[in-house]
Amino acid sequence: MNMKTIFLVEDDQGLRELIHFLLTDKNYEVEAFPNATSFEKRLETSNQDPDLILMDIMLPDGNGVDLCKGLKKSNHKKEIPVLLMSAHANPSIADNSGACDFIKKPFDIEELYTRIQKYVV
Amino acid sequence: MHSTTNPKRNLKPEISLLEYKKVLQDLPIPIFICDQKGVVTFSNKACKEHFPIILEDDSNILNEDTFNFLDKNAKKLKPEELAFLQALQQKKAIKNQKYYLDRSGTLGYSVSSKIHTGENPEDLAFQFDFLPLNKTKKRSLKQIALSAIVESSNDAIISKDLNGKIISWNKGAEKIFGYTEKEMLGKNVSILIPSSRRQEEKLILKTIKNGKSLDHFETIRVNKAGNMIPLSLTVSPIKDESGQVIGASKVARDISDRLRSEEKQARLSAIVESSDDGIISKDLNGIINSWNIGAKRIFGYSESEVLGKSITLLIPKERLNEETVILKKIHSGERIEHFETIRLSKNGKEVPVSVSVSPLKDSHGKIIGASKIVRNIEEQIKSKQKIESYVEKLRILNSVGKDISSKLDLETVLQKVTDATTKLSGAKFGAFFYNTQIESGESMMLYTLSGAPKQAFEKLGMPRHTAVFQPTFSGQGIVRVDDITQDTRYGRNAPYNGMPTGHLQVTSYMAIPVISTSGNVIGGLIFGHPEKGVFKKEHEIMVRNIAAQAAITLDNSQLFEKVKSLSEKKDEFIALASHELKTPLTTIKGYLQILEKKIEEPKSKLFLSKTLDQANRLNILIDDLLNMSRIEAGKLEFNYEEFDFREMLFELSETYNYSEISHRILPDIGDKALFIKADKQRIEQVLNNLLNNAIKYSPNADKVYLKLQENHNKVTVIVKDEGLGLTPEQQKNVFNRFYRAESTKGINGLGLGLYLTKQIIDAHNGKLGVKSEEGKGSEFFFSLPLKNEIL
Repeated sequence: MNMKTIFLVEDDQGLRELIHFLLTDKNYEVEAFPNATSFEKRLETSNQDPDLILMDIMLPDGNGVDLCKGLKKSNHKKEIPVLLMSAHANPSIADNSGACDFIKKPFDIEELYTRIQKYVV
Repeated sequence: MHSTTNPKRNLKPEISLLEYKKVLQDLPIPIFICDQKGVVTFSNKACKEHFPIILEDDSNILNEDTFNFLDKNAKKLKPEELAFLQALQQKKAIKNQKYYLDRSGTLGYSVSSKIHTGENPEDLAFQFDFLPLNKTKKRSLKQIALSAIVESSNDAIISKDLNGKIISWNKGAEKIFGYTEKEMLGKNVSILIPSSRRQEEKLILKTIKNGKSLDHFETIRVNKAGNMIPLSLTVSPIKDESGQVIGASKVARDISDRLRSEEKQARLSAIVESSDDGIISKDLNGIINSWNIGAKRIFGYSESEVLGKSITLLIPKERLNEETVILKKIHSGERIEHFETIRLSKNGKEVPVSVSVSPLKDSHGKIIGASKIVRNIEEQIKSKQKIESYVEKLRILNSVGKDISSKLDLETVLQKVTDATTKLSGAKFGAFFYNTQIESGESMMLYTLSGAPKQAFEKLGMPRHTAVFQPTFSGQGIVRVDDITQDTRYGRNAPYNGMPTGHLQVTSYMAIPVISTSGNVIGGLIFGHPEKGVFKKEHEIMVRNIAAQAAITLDNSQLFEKVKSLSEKKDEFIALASHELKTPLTTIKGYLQILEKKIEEPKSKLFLSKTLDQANRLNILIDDLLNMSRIEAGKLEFNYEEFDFREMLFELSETYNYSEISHRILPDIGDKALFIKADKQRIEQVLNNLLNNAIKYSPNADKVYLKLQENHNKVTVIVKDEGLGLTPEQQKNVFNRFYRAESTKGINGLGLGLYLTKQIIDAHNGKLGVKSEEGKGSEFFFSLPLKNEIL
């Protein structure tokens, strides 16, 4: 079985658990991180890159936009699609971040699925 | 009894008594009629000349003084010695009896009498005719002429005998002294002489007795009313035929008028001389012919220096034509009043003057020159300027008062106060230094400056708590010195020990602490001027008053700044809060959606759908709050893109009409594509707001009209409902933040929707408005420029 792996970075536990459930429900393998530090550490040490990173912009120890920019600079990780989410009303904040897309909170479940399927084939 | 006279003869019946008297009146011989007792009932004109004492009505001819007939020894005959008077008492007539007025018997009369009978025996009347003897007659005619002159004279002409008894008294005398002739004849002249001058009369009589005259002797007499009358007296002896002095004639002229006019003249010249005004007269050629002390004071020339010179001496060259105009006006008899001009003084100094010029006329009314009154108005001009500057100061005070009480922005208030006080104090420059606490102790920070560029202070260290500044910033009091460099407090502090190089030059110095109501020294107003002694007590008072007023405003302003910063914090908080709120909302929505799919039971499904609606509403409210705080902070961002506005309206109305809403949206939007460049999401938000409001506020209707119009390079959208409508008051406020119409109680909302709508339309250079009638519905409309207009 060739399950797709998604790394989820979301500091809000409730939302993290919801998305974890939703994605697992759709047969994605999900690794969830509550902050930037734990995510970066895992990404470095992981033998296999995830198929998608779903990341909140406002994190307690970092900013999703900056993290994304960092990834895009690295030779090994720049191919991983990053989907940013935020409660920020203006999607332009994700411009120039290198993210493949932006999803606005609150979102419909269907919208989330559609976006993810677009990048994880 | 004499045969020629019939005592019983009646007057001819055809001639009345009146007519008879009329005839007698003009006869040249003295004739009078008296009753049996000697009381005179008629005397003719001639009688008055010859026997002035005999008057009509009540004088009695039997009196001792009536006749001055003499016997051969020149002794005056008494009444009982006069035969004609005896005849009267015996009711007899007489004829041609001779009586003399002098010893020699040359002057005298031939007296005859007639008896007239009346109806009653008591009505007997006796007529006496005095036929003057030849010489008497001649003399008497001359006397008549003289008498006429005497009578018509305005001077008092009096004659008296050597005892001072008055013999004659003319009209002039009556006028001057107030006594009638009748009152005065036979009286002693001494009643006219004030007691203090009795001696004088003795001297006069002495002179007269010596046959000498007294000419124009000025003295004082008393009139009937007791007033003192200044007189000029000429007294001459009266001599009889033999040359013997028998009396005196007195001519007295009332000189009170003359004295008065002399006095007036004197008073006038005293006024002219003592006047501060220059009073000058000149002839028609402009030649000066009088010059008072006032003129000397103004122009510096003495009278002798200018008499005979032309008035142009005083006129500056460029104003010489003024004199031509003045002379022309004077020639035509016009006056010139308060003409303000400039004249030259002796030392060449220009003197501002006010000139009034009047024509001078001679006694025939002919203009012979001009009088000029010149007033030095230097002081007047100065005080006028002073008043003007005072008024200007009041104006500034008033305006600064208004400004600082109406403005809350700290810097604006301080700049206003600094500008106004600098102007009012006449300072070269003024500055407000803020009293701020820093670690090393208190110091001041330059806040505002007036009269000098800020760079003038930038390079210099901020004033420290030096001896000069300390009283101001410790709030001790006002410092005002004429020359700060001479002050004991000056130059005592390192490193500069005085003003550092490059400092604006300050000699006059004034510093006023600005103290808040709570007693804190907010700062200090400091003024400087390179000249000495510029700042006076009045400046100090004025600036102090403004500083006090400003302090109150600064207190308010500081409060305002605090509120403003709180408000900024609030906006920050709202931004953060709304962001934070969205995350759990996302979670809630997510689980609800999962449940929605899993639950089949219809009631639970309905409840879930309602819960989801509420979550969506919550999301909109959070968005509004967030947007509002962004707008307040000027941080609302827009993403402009080009799109077909008509299409957007079409899709939107479809969405509404497909969803289960109470109202139907009726679009009237044509089919022409209309492109605009706008933030699609925001414009959609605007339309949602307007459509949702239309639905919300027309609970009893079921239609909302949506209209799109293109006109003059813009598009206008009209959202019309048939709802509650708005009062004019509500229409005014409906776009204000948190405004909710009173009548909307029971309808949910924060009062932010239309506020945001307005902000968004404004940001798009559009126009938003409302037309409404209470009870009939509202029509909200907005217009946006077509794409071409923006680009």
